[in-house]
Amino acid sequence: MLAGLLTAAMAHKYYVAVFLVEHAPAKKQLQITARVFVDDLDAALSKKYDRELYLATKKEASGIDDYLAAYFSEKIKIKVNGSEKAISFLGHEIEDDVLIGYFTVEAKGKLKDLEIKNTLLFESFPDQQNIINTNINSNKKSLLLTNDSPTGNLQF
Amino acid sequence: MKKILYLLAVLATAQLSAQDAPKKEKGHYDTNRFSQMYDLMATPNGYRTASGAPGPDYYQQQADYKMDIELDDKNTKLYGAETITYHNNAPEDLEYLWVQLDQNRRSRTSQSPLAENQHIGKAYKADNFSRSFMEEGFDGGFKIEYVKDASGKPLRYVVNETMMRIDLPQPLKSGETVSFSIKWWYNINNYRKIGGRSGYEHFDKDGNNLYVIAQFYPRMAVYNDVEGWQNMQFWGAGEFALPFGNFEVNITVPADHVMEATGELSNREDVFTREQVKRYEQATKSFDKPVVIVTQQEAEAAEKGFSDKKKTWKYKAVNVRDFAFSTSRKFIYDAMAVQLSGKTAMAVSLYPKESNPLWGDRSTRVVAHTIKTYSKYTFDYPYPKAVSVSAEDQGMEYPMICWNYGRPDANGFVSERIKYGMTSVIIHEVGHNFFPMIVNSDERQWTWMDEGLNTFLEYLTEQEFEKDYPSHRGPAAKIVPYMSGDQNFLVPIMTNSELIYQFGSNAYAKPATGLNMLREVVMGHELFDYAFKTYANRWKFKHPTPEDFFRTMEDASAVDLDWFWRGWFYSTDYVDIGIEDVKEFYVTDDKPEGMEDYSVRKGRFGRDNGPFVYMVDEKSKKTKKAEDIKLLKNYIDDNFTAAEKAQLKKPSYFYEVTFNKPGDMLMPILVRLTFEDGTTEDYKFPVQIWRKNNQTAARVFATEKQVKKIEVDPELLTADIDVTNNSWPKEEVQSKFDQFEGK
Repeated sequence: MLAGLLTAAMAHKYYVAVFLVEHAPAKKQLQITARVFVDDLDAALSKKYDRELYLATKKEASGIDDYLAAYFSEKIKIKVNGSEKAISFLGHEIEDDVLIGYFTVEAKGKLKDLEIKNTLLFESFPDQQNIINTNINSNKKSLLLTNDSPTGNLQF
Repeated sequence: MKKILYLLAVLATAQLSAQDAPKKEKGHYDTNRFSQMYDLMATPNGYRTASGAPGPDYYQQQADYKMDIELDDKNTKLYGAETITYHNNAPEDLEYLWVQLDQNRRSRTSQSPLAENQHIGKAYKADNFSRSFMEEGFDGGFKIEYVKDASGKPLRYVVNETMMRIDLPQPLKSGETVSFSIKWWYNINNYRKIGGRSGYEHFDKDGNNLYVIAQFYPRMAVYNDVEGWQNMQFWGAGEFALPFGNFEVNITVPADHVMEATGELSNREDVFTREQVKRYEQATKSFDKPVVIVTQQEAEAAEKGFSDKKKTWKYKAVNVRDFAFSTSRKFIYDAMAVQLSGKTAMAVSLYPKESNPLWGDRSTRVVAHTIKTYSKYTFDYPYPKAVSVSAEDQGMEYPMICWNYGRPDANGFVSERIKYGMTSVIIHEVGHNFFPMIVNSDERQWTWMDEGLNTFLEYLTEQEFEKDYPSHRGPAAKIVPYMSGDQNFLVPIMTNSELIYQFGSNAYAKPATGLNMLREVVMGHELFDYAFKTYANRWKFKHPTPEDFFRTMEDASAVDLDWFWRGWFYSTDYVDIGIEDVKEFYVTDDKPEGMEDYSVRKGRFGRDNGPFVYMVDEKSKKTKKAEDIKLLKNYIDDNFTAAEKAQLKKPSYFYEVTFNKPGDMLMPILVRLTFEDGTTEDYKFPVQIWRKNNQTAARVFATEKQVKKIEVDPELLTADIDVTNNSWPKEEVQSKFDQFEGK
């Protein structure tokens, strides 16, 4: 069987996106990279906006970063030390079959408490798993967010 | 001498007794990561030898099938009757037989959906809501009409989910054979709606179905020396374990269908037109390009027909572990011949018009390239043909035939992703003919044994298909994001198929990358390729276990790989090797302070008090080039001829480099020195450098030119998960994020 290559929902495909959250105290921000399968994201965005976006092809719709920014902002909610912070989306790159999205969140002072709700792709793929790896204050901690438990909390 | 020892012992005791509570260290078991694998591997025996080959007592069962199958296209039902002849080659008698009923995973009483976690969604589309909460659901699963013995008497049977036990009136003795018959039918699933590795795809525009039919008959389970009966239920992730056998299958479908299946078609003249048979004959002689046997025009005419007449296609397959077929009115059919080293085989593709021109241009050529390339690394492809069927959303393998996704979109557009995705999936699924269809490992237990080995050869085959082919799996650097992930979400490769997190990375990419690293870094192409080929040839048409693979790779190469299997396959250890420290030294003949009484042992009883060549860690006026030190010069003049002297190195710079290993996975140390003039020298220290100390290692480099930079694994060949500690002087390595921001 193949794994991780399919274009649409199937019983035996494995849906995983991996997020890396790192604290850059000097810049007073969290730096976040999101690694998401291009075909999953393309399917979800095309469904949401009801048009083919041809993500990461030569027919890609113009202003694709605006779609991505809106989608990531809608699906990812981050609370830093208890207060919700807006996501600022910087852009994206394509690496093989993966889209890497880059964004930041304001995080002043010492980071003690981080709450992440991440429902990216959950509406399109019920089995989607979003793995959040964090590297904060030299601490590596992780969350596995699924439809069952889309929100997680970490203390540092 | 004895007196001194006695004195020392007394002193030590005195010191100890002076302390209140003497602290005693605890002992420990062998924790060295080079330890041999006796603790984890099965003990070799007469069935499977310590060399990794089948032993003198090796046996395997055989199951032969005669089947009559009929497709009801209008009602999407499949009817079948089979006679299974089962050969008990085991040394023991069998009281009962286990038969696999894979379709029962879709029955209304199936446990599979009950074993899934559920939750309420925020919003549902009407059809989804209805399916989730209102409808009874698809009525799948085998409807067994009878199970009879050879004389027609009913046999007692018990169905436990996806497994059926047939109770034999008397035990099947070792070396004996039993025949029995089963009749059944089932509703075929629309796999695009409810999933599945087989089923049908419906085309709304013309009302036709494209069937990809597999797991369609009750199939014998494997009985062997390691599992007894492999009757672990089919939950959905762990695929199949099947014995070899011979098949005679007659398949009746509407007369306007075109079909392909496992095995050789024995009545070509009955099912193809005379013109199509002639084109097929041409294809058997066409080695450079495919010949179209059923044209797009013919397929387009057929898909409007909906014939009420029937036709029966007759297939015979020898020594296969399974049988599958694909049938539709919509099929275009092309084929070409493939020259292997000692024989020829046919490469075949079936696809609807919706797949063109992509499939006509590409599929059969990719099939041909795949069986040629895999044959080179294993054995000549032994079957008469390999078929690639265009089935959207699929990627699934059976003997001689597989289903593959990838079509132009509704506007005829083919992205690079689809083009290469389709090419890769064809290579992958055709490649499965070798693993596990012929080298017949147990997928229910170990997904990686076929997926990992197959993904490795898929990578080599892609790279040979086209220069710089965009392979997703294989190169070491591509596994780093997975290997550096949180340990809570990682499991060893040696984990049962149903229990794996991150299936694609764990069972496909990681083993494939591991084999690629063995080939590129640890063993080299020649030793690796020979050992890999030995494994494939030892176990073709047999049932290997993981140990048979691990042992053969060592046995055929004289490379001890226990450390590699232990780290890469049996644990979640990762590679992280760094440079801890670099000390620079200079040469002098001026005795440094503190070295006044320095002497070295000479022979058994003597001491040599110098003079010496001294190594000092600070550059001063007294440090010299090695060649300018008189002591050394005299030695060289006395001991070497002029010609020999010209060959000697003239080192002036000395570096003691200490390597550390924050990661527990062992790996050879790859080092690159970059000199001031920009030239480089590469070194490779075998993994045994870590054998007595798994944490640190040190090496000395004596160079003529000054070193500007020292790097570990500069070409990213070892899946080192943290490269921030890989260079001296320490370089600020930009994070992925910083690199992006800097652009």
